Amino acid sequence: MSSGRERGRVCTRASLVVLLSLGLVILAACSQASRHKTLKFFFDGVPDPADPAAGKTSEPPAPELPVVLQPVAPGRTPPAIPSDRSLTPLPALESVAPIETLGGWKAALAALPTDYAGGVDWVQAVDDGLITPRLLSPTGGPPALPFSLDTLARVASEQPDLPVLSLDIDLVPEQRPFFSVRFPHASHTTWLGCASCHPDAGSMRTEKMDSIFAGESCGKCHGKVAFEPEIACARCHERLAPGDESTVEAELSRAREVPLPSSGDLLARGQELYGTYCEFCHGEQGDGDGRLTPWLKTRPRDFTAGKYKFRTTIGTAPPTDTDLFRTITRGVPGTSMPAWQALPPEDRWALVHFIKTFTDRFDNEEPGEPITVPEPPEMTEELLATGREMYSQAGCNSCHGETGGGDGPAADSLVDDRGEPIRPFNFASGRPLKSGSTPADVYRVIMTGLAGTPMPGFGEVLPPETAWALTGYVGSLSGTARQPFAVRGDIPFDRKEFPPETEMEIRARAIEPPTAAELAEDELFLLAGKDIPPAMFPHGIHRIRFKCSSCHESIFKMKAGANPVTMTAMRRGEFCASCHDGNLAWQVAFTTCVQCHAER
Amino acid sequence: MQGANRPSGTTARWVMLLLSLGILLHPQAQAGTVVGTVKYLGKPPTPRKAAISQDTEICGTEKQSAYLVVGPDQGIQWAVVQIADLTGAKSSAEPPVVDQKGCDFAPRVVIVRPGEEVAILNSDGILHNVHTRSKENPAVNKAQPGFVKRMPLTFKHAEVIRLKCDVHGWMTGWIMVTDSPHASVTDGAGSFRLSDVPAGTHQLTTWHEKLGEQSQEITVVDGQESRVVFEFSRE
Repeated sequence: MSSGRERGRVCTRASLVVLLSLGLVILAACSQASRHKTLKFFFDGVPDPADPAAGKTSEPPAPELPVVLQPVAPGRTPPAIPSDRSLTPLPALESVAPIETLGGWKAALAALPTDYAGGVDWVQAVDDGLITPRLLSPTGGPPALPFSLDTLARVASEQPDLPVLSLDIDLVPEQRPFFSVRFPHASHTTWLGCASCHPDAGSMRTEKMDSIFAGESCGKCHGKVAFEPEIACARCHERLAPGDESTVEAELSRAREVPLPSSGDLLARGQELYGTYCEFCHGEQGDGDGRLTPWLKTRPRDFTAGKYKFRTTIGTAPPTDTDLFRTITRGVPGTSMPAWQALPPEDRWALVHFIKTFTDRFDNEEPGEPITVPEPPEMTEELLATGREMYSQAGCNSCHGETGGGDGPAADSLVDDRGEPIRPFNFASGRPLKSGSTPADVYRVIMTGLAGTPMPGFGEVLPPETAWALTGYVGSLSGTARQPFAVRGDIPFDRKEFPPETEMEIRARAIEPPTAAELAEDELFLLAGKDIPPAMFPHGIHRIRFKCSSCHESIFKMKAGANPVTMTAMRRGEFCASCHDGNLAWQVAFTTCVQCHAER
Repeated sequence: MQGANRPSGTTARWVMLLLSLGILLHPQAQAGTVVGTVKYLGKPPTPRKAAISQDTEICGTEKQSAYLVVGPDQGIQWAVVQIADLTGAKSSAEPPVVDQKGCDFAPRVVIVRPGEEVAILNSDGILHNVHTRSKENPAVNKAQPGFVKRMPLTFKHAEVIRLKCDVHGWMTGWIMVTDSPHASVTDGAGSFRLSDVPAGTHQLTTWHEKLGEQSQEITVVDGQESRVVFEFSRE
């Protein structure tokens, strides 16, 4: 009895040593080379990191691909929602370009279209035929899968997939019909089944924005795996869509020439409009503390402080009326401030004059003399070189960083006038600039600065020519950053949350207890664990091929912390290993650790 | 020591000049001098040191907190003392200057009259941004890159204005905008001297960035020196 136990212990110890050394060898092999090998095994056309030319010369396996993938420039106009969306135009599987042939998930994600707020536009990606989340035959019949997808087939048979439902529903708030929403069933049923949203027949309630931000109704997915409602108002509220540049510019030049002066009538109108459209973010008192404010990442402007970031006035002067008109008209991209061009110009002027009444600044201070943005010079190599030199001479790099990544030495210590931490803008990200992304916009902000933030005005110290050079250089930094790993909805797994299952837990689930070898392996995972970055589940890359219901709820419960994803569980074919079994997708194993535990 | 000698020498020279001017122009004026110290009761807090990693070749690698500088004999440096109930032309004609040197404002506290120009210098030759926090005056946030050696500022209204540089978050300075003709910043020993104060009873106030304000009534006697002591404690 005791000698048996002893022998067992010796065996365990020996196997532990063997596995430990094996593990170390494999860990060492989790290098760029092995990672490339793994990627290459599953995705065709992965460029060899050792050979920079390989990615360009190697031909994708299917040269007759009908779909040409073009990275879509950020900042394009939002897709109009077609009212007569045709029913189920699901492309035949064999005609679809496997987006993975682009060379791994980073390139695949980079090739997906983005919406005006900078997130992946999944709906457009389906429309463009770039991705196929419904692995079904075009007729909606039984799954016609190109390879053995037992798990997915099972899921599909349990909840038969319905065809895409082409039904738009107009949701019109009684009090504020301006905020009407056209709900497209089509783009939702591409991913979801009816029961995902309607647990009981006919049950569906429209929620107020507070509840959506709090994660109810639309907020169950939006803000998590689908676009953020907070910064993409216009994706639901169609009338808040930003107008195209030419009409905005036409209106603004008219506004500059003939600003509408204040009057009693206009102020009264402004007050009424403010209550209807502005109050729930900017607050009844105009202090930026409205009902929705707690949910917004960018705090709404506090009109009582009388400080405005986006001005044409230099130094300390308050903004001109046209400056305020401009911000109302075009909104502030990347924040919750939408464009209000759908309101008639008179109404926008009424709002301009009304919001000025929240502070006495406009009465007490001289109106500012707006700067003129001169005609830009031709952007030559020399001018760009001057701009590059000026970027460090003028100290832009102190905050915005050497390469414009918003990571200069002072970046971490900056605070705004309220004492809240604030980040310098990351030019390299390619995100739209809040005050506009045209060269003239950048020039203006360099000269005026952004009131209330650390960004100072350079208007008194930079001659126009130098400022244009700087503008050109800043523009050349835009979008130079590598594509970020994470897209909206990616889920980090911290293994500390899920300690190895106890014996009781395992018994309760009526499955085989782990063998000695498995236990030793777990030991190894724990040992290695402290050096391995936590796994990041890339929702994005999975959305390219699968519907929500492919994994939810049969494999993963849709609740934070409800899925004890451990390596032990994976070994038994649970969770990720349901598909990542070496058959359907790459196998969860020591050789593939970097696939999930990759540095981001 | 040299530094400590210079201001008193200057002050003495000014006192002489102004006294003679006063005698020449207003032989009937009756004026005295107010001297004193601003003191801290109790054990002053130990200055904190923080390592910095930015522009180290100019700023150094360490900064010591300077929000409360207590010298020998408990004297508090960088307090402003002024006769609050008088307005008029300033007794000193020296134009106020704040330099940005070694990534600190020098001096830390400067007295400026409303409408008077204060020159912000940049000896460091790197980007600083002159960012003010004020209530009465409009806020200023102007870039002063290394190649801009002098930037003039003016403030219309009397108040205490905080001066910050966002690029170097530790940099703090103060501009006391006041229309009192008799105002002074305490030196390293916490002492001050206000000359040529008209004889009579006055309200003397002191302000310190951390300790706040105090005031007391003083009586100035013609040709005499009145001694005043302000005492701040932790509470």
